[in-house]
Amino acid sequence: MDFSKSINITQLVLNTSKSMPKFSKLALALTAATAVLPLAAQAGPTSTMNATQLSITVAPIAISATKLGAEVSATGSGLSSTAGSYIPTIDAGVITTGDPLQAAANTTFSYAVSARAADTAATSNALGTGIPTTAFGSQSGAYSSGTSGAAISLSGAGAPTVTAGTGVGSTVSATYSGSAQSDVAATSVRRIASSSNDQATFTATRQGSSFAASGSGLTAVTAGGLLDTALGAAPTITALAGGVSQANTTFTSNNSTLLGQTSAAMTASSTNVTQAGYGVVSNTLGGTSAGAVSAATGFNSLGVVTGGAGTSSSLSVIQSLTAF
Amino acid sequence: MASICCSRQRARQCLGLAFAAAAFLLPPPAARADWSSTSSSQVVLRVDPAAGTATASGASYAIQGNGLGAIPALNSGIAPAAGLVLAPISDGAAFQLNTAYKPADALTTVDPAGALPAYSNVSVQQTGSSEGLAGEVASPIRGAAKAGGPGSSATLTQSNTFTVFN
Repeated sequence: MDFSKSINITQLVLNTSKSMPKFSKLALALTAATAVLPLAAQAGPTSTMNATQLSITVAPIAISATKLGAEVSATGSGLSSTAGSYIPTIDAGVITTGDPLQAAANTTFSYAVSARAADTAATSNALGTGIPTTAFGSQSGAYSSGTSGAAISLSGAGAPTVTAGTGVGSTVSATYSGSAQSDVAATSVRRIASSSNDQATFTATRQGSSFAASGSGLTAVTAGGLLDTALGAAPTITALAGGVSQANTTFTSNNSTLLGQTSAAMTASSTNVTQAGYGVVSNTLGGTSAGAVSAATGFNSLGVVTGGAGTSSSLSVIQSLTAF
Repeated sequence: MASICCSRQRARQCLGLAFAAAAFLLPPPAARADWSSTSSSQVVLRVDPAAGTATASGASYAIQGNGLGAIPALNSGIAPAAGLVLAPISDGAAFQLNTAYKPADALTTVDPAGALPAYSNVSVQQTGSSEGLAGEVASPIRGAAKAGGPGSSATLTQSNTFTVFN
């Protein structure tokens, strides 16, 4: 009997041993409970989050240049046809002329010509060593100041510092994101303020040379116009010769000239650009003093102040409130 | 009886072992606090590298005129006729001429070290200047940065999270 009980108990033990999966289930349940408990504790937490990002960007110096081809434009009337090479032509990018302008006395004549030789051949330029040395006739670029004075700082809960500076080409921005959530509601706010000084920019184009003359009742015209021109050079102007007024004769006379430019290379340091002295130039000076990004009492009061000429400032605020 | 007691003890031991094993297998309970706070700051300074593009140009030639006498022909394909001499078709005749010409660039292999080929259209961005560029994070809630030269940027980021558990 005792033996049988013993056997039974042994069996019980064995059964217990076989029922280990039940303990595994228990262990799993305990594990699950342990895992769930923190979740239950977090079911309704109240949390706040805020993120702040301040940035300064100084735009890079950037240059573009385009090689110009050769161009010729000529019109005329009342001129001699026996010495016609005063009309320029293009030969492999070079301007060729030869004979002088000629018009007989007491004729009505007109002559207008403009010509530009092609730019010199391009050259290869290694990056990182400066602006290309190639003398191209069309140039444009933008540059920033070497030192802008812009600065940013965060100091815990204190008001942040965002100094826009006075250097051209610099931008400061501040972004604040905050949110709060509880069991019953959630709210968020996002403020973005930006202030920038424009870059200084320029475009420059090399002009060709031009010559125009017209008249009537004059003495004979014996010279005038443009001469042969090498690549990248401005055609030389030959002054009008002859074609002067005569006594007791009704006359008219007009003459204008424009000497073009020889193609030249740009030079640049890391802080400025020296552009070629071309005849067609467009410049913008860039910003003078960017408006401030203010946050006198912390980011909840984030704002901007108008700057000087060539500056821009922006502020956007997005808020949301949700009740559950 | 002694045998029975022994079996019960073994059963208790087995149960104890089972609970001990279960306790061992269970992960430690997650740390629990009434509140938590996390702050982080990051400062990133950047200086742009030099960059550039070069675009080759094709050949172009255009000519338009009237009142001119010319031998040979004014043009040959995509280039002006060489040695061209133009004159009014007769003394005093009105004439007009417009010509434009641009030769094609010769294509070359690109230097992977960064040299731009000798093409007609070039855009270059200068190497950034680190002059004055500086930044620091003094603590998870304190940081500062100063601007550098052209082609540089500084970004200061801070985040704070505070949670109160019910």
